[in-house]
Amino acid sequence: MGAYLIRRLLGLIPVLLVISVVTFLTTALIRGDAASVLLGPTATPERMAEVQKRFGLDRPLPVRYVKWMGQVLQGDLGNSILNRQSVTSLVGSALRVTLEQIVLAMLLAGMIALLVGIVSAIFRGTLVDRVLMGFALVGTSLPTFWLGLVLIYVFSVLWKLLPPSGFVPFTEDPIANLRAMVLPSFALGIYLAGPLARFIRSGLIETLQAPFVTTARAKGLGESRVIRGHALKNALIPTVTFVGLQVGGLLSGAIVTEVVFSLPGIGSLALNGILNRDFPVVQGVVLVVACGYVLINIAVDIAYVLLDPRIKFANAT
Amino acid sequence: MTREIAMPTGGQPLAPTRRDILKFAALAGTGAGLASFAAPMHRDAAALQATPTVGGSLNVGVAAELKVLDPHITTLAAYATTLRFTIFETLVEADDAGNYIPSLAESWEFADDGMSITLNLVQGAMFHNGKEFSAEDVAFTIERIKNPELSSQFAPQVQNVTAVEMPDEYTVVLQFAAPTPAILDYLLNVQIVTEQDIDLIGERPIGTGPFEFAEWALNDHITVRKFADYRQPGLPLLDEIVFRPVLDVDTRLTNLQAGSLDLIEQPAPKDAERIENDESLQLIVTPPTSKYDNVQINTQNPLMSKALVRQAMSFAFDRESYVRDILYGFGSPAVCPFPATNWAYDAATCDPYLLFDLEKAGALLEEAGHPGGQGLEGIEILSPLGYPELKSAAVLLQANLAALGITATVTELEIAAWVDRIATAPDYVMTTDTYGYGDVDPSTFFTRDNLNPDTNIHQFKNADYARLVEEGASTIDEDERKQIYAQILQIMMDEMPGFLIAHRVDIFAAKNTVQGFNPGPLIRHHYERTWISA
Repeated sequence: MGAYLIRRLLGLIPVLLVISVVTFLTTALIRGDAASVLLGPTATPERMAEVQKRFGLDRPLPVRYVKWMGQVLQGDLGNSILNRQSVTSLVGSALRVTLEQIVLAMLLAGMIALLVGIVSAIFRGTLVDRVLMGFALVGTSLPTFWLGLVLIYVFSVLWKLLPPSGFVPFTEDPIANLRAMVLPSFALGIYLAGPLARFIRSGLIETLQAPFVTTARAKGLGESRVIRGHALKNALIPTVTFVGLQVGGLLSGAIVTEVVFSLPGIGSLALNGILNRDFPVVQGVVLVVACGYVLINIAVDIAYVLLDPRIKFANAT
Repeated sequence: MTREIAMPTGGQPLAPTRRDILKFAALAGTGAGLASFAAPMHRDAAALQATPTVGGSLNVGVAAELKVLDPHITTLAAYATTLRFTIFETLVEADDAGNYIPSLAESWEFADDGMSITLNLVQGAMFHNGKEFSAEDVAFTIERIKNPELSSQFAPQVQNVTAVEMPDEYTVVLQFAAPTPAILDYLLNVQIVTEQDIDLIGERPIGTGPFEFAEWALNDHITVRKFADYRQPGLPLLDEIVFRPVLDVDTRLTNLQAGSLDLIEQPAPKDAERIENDESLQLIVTPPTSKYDNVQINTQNPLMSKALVRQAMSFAFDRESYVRDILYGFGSPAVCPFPATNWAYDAATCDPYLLFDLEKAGALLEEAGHPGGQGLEGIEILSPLGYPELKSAAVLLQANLAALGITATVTELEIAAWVDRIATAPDYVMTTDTYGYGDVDPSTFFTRDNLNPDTNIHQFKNADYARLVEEGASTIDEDERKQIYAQILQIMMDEMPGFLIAHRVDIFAAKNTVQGFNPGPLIRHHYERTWISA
């Protein structure tokens, strides 16, 4: 297992290299740069040249890339072009907001999906099953942006129950933090609940018909014990894969909820970074997210082993 | 010297309603009514009603994220609603009628030959870092703006200032290269800074204003708090202001309705009626401003190289429809840069071009050799992302052109790409644009990047235009200046390097408890007299 882990982690390096080059090229080659954003329509060629020199944008691309890469390898993600704050601290504080959103979104989606999936599986084929799966479909189809606005309207404007926007750090005030995160996390995660419920449902149905379950029942175990102790664990394997893969989707969905709910997370940091052509910020965000994505995939693989001891890794000892 | 402190009213919104605006705007055509209207008399009458509450925190929603905190290098509109007038002050201020009133300069005097101005400075004003304001700060500020390394967009405002003399600690004499009667209007745009801690200006800006910088959480909020040693006793009334960028216009309004914001700028014009009907909210509308929306034309583009074609574009644009249907009445049709209330406005020259006349446009096109729009394929109208009214204007123009037989396309671009296409490497046919300056003196309009004779967005070079603009800026006699500006306007109408479509009115929405926020027509958003009633 140890050697497997090391090999997977080493695999991070070529991935990050390729990503860094691609991001660098894309941001550098699209029209406009930080100088255009700063100067606006008053950007005469002379002014542009001055500002570009100030920002170091006048050097050739490969030179800028090598300089940046050198900094990154020393753990320095650089500074935002526009406000000179350290990208590491910008990404750090933004990440905390988005991670919380994602975790809460998955928790909410997971709880709903578990409930819906299990009930559907138990009552498969009946009206209850069909209605629940119908709701699941609706949940997946709702556009996040629209749902976010509707939630704000109902819960913040109409009923004045929850705040419509803003973020309070958990360490500062846990209650205010959770109150602010409920709506965005729900809007973000609800689309997951549908497919997740279906996974759990079909996984459960299949497993419940498996021989070892019949054996368990024959042994005299109660139905809930059968489900909890035996069937669910097996049904969870494809579910875990699915969830791991969804993190990417949740991250892109976070950009939408962060705009609608004015949350200072990775999504809005990246969006503003791109609109402002703030290259160091964009590159920092992409690198960190890519890293996170690969690490999550590794974590999913490890989770397999924990869920099913029969699964072994090639060459693992 | 005594200063009248206008006490805020209680309860009633201070600004006139939209109906009042439109009524008076009708009078503006004669130029008569608006000047008196702009100094709101009914406000003063109600002024002595309630005692303002001191203290409290105001949450303001702005339409854009601040990118830069340095007042000399940012022209972002959101900066004017946030830091420009809270943290900083200028030497002179202006009232709603455009009269110059003292600020950091108590009094001033032009030299008889107009080649210099002497300003007597306020004594005892403090910067937020403890330094006392004096003549050397004025000298430093002007020098800083003029420095080409800074690339300040305000350099044209002080380009005529050749020297800043300091006869004593509280007096400055600005020497000019040529008479500069508009210097006071230019100085309205020059925020005074001090050399001490100037390197922090991008992170922790320091000025003499009623509020000092507290913190900036990127993408989340900027907070300013009451400056205890502000030079005007008893002000500001608020303890702190928290500015939150909420880019989406609908989200901004829902936040106001839900109560997490107290005041928002630029609600969508379509929501104005909803806000007026909401008992807990008030709509704050300014008198007509000199802000305008316009269509920029690239005169170097082969499609637009003939003046006749450009004139046709102007006649083809339905300004009434734009103001009525897209701005919901919050504006007035325009073709010349000066608003009708400005003394340099020339009705005889400009009014004939205010018409929406497709027949005339068609005739002009035919005269230019493009009957029925032949030969004018490939017209692309750009529009900057984030300005829904400008996008609608582009689409409106597209529809108007279709009636002439011209098929145009509309492309909305994000700001960085848009700037690249229109300014850096000009590669465009036409674009909609907007100018958010509260300019008073006519010459100031020509320091902006679309009307500047040297480097303008239209790539328009005309020797007479350049000469007249310079003359207008350096002539002292107002009657003579009026003649000069009439000639300039005539050139602009003959050549049509671009055309205005409307002057704007600023709108804000706030909870009814917010008092003392009077944005005025000059886009100078002061908060020192703002307070929140219980």
